[in-house]
Amino acid sequence: MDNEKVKEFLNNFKLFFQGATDFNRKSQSLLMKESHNEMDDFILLCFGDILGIPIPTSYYSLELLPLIADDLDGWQRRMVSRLYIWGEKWGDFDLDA
Amino acid sequence: MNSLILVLSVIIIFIIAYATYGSYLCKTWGLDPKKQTPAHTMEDGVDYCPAKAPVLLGHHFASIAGAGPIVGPIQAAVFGWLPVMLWIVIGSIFVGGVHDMGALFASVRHDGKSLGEVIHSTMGDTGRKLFSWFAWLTLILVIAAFTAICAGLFVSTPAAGSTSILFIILAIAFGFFVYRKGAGLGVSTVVGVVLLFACIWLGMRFQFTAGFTKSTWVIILVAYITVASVAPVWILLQPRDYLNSFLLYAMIIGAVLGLVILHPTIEAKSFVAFNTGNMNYLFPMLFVTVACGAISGFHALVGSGTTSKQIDNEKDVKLIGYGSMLIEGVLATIAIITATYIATPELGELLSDGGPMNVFATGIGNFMQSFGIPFETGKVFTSLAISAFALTSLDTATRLGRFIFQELFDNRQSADEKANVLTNKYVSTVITAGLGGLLAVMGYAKVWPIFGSANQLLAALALLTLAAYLKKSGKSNKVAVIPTIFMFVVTFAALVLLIIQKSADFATNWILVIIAAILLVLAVVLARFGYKTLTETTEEKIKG
Repeated sequence: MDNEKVKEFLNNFKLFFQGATDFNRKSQSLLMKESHNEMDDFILLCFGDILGIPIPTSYYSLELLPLIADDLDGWQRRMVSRLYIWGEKWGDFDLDA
Repeated sequence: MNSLILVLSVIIIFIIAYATYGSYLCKTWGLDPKKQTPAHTMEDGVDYCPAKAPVLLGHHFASIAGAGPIVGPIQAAVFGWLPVMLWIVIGSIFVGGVHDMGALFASVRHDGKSLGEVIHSTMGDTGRKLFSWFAWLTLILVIAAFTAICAGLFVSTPAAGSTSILFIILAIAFGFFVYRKGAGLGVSTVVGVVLLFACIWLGMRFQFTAGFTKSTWVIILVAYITVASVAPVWILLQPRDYLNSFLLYAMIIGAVLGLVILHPTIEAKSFVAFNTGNMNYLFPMLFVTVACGAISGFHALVGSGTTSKQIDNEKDVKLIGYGSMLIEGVLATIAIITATYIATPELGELLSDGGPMNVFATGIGNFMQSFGIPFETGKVFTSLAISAFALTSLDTATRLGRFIFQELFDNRQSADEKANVLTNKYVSTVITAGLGGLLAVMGYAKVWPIFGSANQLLAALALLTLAAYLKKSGKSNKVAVIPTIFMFVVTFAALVLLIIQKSADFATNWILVIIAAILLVLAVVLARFGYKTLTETTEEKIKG
């Protein structure tokens, strides 16, 4: 085995431990997901008419469009492909069992 | 036999299996490094984002490893260590590895959708309803099993009980200071970890002994999970998870150091008996007891939940799906060594006294003693680490159970229809946690096999989905069909045996008998569906 390969292997080994011991990732992603869910709900309240839900305030919430435009694509895909809530939620929590 | 040799030979076998069988799977399934994965096609920076293979392997491994690979093998050690060892090695390679890798692969090919959603698209709405009930029942069993295990541990090691309570208070304070008072994470972590060890010291001095029976602890734990699972994640779940990880890694370092320094000779018998009494037959009980170290349905949920959305390249599926299962097999091997380090008569005593966690804590306590940590401290520390794990599982299981329950009873057709009281957040939580607690009072020994059966049924279902998917895409699905049949046979046999065994004392075990019967009916329905799916020639339901 040449030097390069050993180096690569050691580096991968390091990365594995980085991933496995990433204390923050698992717990932070829980918080991130919660806040993203809230954001999704907020967009639904402001721009529900994109999905065909009549929203009486859409005339006013239109003002927010430039701020939310970037998120709209992903949001729309999430809303349309959502079959049921727990199927999605199940993936968010790991049961450690 | 020297335990270090055992671990090393298992590792060598796994490396050979990875290079041969793993590559064979890649070839027959047609993993395509050129195909774009959902992480790229649907990248959104939240769920879908490509991750480097070794990092993702670490993430995935940390997610699938937990209390499971510890509890199962130790519990099964009553059959002797050899059959458990063989099942771990053969199961990981031919059943569990295929299952984990397959679930990940099927999910990657279905836009990173979770197993539940993949099943929905293959089985329709009735299938989804059935699967929801099945998932809810499984979660109730998770709650029951882990509540009972924690209660047992707290009775046998009272210091672990008081330490756990202090730890919960610490986690709440940590969450409050970090997320509400804006304290820096670095400083808080240092203070938090120092206080964590102070909790152990304090917990060993103030112990709840008088009047704290198993039932008392079950009631306390059920009350705790009810509150914890409706509380916002930042106040308890998140900070506790964060602090937990420090405990976990300290424990692993302690165990590995002890194993290397002590490398104990295995004292226990390699094989005890095919029937260890009370209808506890090696077949099928071994195969439902040892789940996580060999094959576990929960892995499919993790693999198809988070991991599949982060796969950078399809060729990584082998490393992450198959590789992490094999690493978990090594972890289970270490767990069985801790169990067998303790001689057989003592093992039985410790098992009946405080359950498998008690055995594990005693074993690791012994290991830690080898490099100068007092036995009692080591034991309390390990107890705290694993009970903290179990408590996280309890919390998340209750949350998920509540979501499923709410959705099952939400039949409103229009907005002005009155909501069913069962869809109320608090009502559904109390029902889910309460039922779990009711089962937990019966003791973990009775609940664990049924939980194991439910978990293995889930695994059978995941394998079936894989087999159906492979068939649809015109590939050979033998590698999935044979384990599917095996897992169905195992669960059928285990459930029938459990029903007969528990019916003898129907008055006290009626809930268990009913749950086992429902699971058996579900298993029959699923097997029938599976047979239909796999024998149909023109099948359009499964997305290619």
